[in-house]
Amino acid sequence: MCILPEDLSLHTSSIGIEFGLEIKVEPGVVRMAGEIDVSNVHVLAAGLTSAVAQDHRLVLDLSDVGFIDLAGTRQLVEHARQCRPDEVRVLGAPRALAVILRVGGWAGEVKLVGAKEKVLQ
Amino acid sequence: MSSGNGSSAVRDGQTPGGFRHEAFFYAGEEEFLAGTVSFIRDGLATGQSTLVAIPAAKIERLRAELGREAERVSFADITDFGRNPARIIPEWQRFVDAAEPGVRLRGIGEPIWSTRGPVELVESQIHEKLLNVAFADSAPLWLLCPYDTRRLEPEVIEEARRSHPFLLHDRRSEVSPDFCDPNCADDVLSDTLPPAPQHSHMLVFAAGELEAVRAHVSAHGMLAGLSPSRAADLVVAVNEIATNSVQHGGGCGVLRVWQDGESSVCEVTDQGHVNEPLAGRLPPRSHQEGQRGLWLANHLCDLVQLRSSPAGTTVRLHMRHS
Repeated sequence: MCILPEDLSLHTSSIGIEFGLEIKVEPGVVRMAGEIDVSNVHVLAAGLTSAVAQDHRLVLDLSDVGFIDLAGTRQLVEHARQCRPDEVRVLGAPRALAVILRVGGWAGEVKLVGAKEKVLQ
Repeated sequence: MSSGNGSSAVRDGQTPGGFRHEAFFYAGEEEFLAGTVSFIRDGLATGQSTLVAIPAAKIERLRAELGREAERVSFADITDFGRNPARIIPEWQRFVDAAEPGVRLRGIGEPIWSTRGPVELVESQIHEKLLNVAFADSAPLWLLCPYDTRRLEPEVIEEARRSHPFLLHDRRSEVSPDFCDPNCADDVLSDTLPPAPQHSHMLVFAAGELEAVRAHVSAHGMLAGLSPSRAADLVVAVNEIATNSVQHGGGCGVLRVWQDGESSVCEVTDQGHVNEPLAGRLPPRSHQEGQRGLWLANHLCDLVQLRSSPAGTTVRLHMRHS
């Protein structure tokens, strides 16, 4: 599954699959599947940029994401700062996101909803 | 200089920035209490804020000795937050940052105790040297570091004489004749670590192969008996160090994993060079990206050993099984 808005798909439709990430972007909503690290963080960044540009709120569904690294977390934080306060939610975040937000100095920047104690198998 | 009292500062023998790093050699509890209580009371008498970071058992004895004055002192169990010595400088930095402008500070920090393992001891000694770099120019802090001469090896005491510009013993304070100039901390990370054991498992990785790195660390951690949460934290930490290799260390690296007693150990080597001795010890707001990864590793793992020279960088991460 890789459904991208026109403007984003011009740049990332093939990359979204090639780098092992599935991404679906709607106004204010981004859904992803896979593992996010420095090799594919640009896919996340493009999706977030597109979603936020269309609506200054953000729901990021990471229910099918097994891992996110520091670079991905930074992208999320930076895009969340462009949204209206309290209108950013992350669903089903992997444990790594909560850990990096807390230890990396970004505690309270992003609201996690239904975060799971998800670990790599 | 926060007090604006230059002559007092000169008498104290502090650096121009106001930092005084002093080893306190004591033999037994009575000497420990006499020296620390006197130091604290002198500070309180002049309105100085005080933080005491020592092992928990000593905190209780010191509180009792101070009586009601203990209410004006902050205490922290250094065997808890300072198990990884790389986390201690950030705590002192937090103390300095939180101080009211113009208020001078006193601290007691005992990073080396007799049951520290040999690897932790080496890292604690590096920490002591790096304190001279971290606060050289900016902190109006007088930091007293107790060393138990009855329980610590003579070589440990000798090293303390080299890492502290001032010494306090027998109630006398003096300039340490053995002090190694702060500049010698610049190459404190250039020593090499003992080689990884022959039985370690090795994985060569490059850009685009970090998923394999994570899988390798996760599988090893689970097999070794790490809890799922600790294994996951180790994966986060190793991934960031490996990311540094890909981005700043020549584009590739080598991962080795093994067991060391009660710990899982992961080592990442690459061709990069970390030339900032405080890398991973500065708060995230001031970090370059690679240093933020080291910061994460330092706060997620029980011990992190960083060694770097123009020949390359090694980062060894230790995670205890319980």
